Amino acid sequence: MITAVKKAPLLRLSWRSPQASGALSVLAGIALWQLVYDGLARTGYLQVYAIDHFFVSPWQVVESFAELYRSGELVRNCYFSFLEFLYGFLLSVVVGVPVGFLMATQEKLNNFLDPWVSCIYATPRVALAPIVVVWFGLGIFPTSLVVFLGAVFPILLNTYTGIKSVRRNLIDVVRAFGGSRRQIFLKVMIPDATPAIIAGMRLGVGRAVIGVVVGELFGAEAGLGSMVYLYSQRFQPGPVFVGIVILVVFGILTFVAVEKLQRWLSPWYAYQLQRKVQGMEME
Amino acid sequence: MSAVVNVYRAHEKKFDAALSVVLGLALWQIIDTLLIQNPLVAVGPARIAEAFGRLWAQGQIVRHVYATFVEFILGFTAGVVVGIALGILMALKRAMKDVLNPWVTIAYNAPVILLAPLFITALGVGIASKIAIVFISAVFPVLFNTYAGITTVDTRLVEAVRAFGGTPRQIFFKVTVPSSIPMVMTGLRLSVGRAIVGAIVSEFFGSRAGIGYLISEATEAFRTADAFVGVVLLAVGGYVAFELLKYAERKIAPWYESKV
Repeated sequence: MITAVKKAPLLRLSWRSPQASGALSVLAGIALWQLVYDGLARTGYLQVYAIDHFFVSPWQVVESFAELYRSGELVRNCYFSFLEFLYGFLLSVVVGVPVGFLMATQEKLNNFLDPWVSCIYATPRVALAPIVVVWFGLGIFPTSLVVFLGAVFPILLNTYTGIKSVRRNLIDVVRAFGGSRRQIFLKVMIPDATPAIIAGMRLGVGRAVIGVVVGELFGAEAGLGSMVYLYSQRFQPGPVFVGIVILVVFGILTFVAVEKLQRWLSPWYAYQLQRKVQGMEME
Repeated sequence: MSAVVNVYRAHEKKFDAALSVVLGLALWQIIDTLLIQNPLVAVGPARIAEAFGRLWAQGQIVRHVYATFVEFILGFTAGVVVGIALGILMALKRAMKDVLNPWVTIAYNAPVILLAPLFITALGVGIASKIAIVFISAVFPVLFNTYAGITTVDTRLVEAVRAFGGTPRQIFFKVTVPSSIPMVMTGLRLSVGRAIVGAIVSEFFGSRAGIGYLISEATEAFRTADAFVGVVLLAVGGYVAFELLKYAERKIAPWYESKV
């Protein structure tokens, strides 16, 4: 079997590189979007079919952004949503990782918690959002709780899988050389489970962003989710798109940050396992 | 006595699980009846069962479950068909991949559910907007995983078939398709979850029927027990969908051990 080895090109930047074609595709898509909008605007269909109630051009999104920024509304909403995300996500890490660890190491506890965890995990937790609001009222706390409910289970289950799949022979080696339980925990179990835990956090980020939006739908003083909802009811799609773009960019940035964290904490980690863990995702 | 202990030892996990469920429900009920006694807040299992009975007698359960089911099944099927087709195209055609890849990556990682209010403005509060939202929620995991499954096919298998004179067509149907099925199945599993969330959240944003409608309407009227009926229905629905997929996976790809 002969496999041709492709030589790396001398000049990295080429039109056919994935980065270049990706950027080109995005730019072309946005340009096409603007053209379609302008074309529609010229024909008058925009008013006749009320298309401008849900469709905007990229340029109008930029204008809405500037307007919302100038009025201070945007900063305030971002601040609230960010706090909700932060509290909920931190809480789910603080709860999910220890509980996952305990479930992986204490068999009796696992037997008792497992039916409840699986049951709640199988339920779409966003469905609990209205109930959480009835229980805890309006404000940052209930939305953080919705974020927590969304993000905690991927983190918990991935911690569980990570600890369960710590390589037995590594533990045996440390034990054979006289390692204490504390050393096994700190030097073997934690590092070996880190990739899985971080993968759980990565899944949790997406769930947390959805939690922010759905939580704010039912009761919030401010926030990007409530902004999206408010303007969609006023048939002003510009601010709606602004909210969506910010949340999407935020979600992707956080996702990338967690991935960077993973490379930094466990550089030896192969992509293969990552995919296996991602296959566990159920939402 | 020792016989009992032996039986317990043999099925320890199952016994513990049953015990945990019974104890948990009992504790829940005790908190409901003794500590809080406020129907707005505490809804013990008894109250939920009672609400279920009442809603069932009114025919509400059938109506809402049917609405959500139709939204789910239509959007999900369309999502799966389009997702698999585009995933195959992206994996086989370089130009397709170059054009679609950034958009798919963004859409796969972004919470597409945020588009729900716009879809409802565009398509109305009826079923069309829900199907569209379920569709865009479901399509990207399938697409992404089909693409990944086809591009990560073991090249040794392809070479072996080619060495024995297999045509490209045979390579595709005998090697590529079977060996990418596990990844496609993973995509389907992700899609089921996202599709259910899509259906529910879009019903929250505006609808006339469905389980999400049941939940949001019940909480607005402070009928918390009714809302919990909706949550329980969703839990059961999600469980059934996942078991069906697992079963299909065992039938289609018996060599692949599911990780869930």
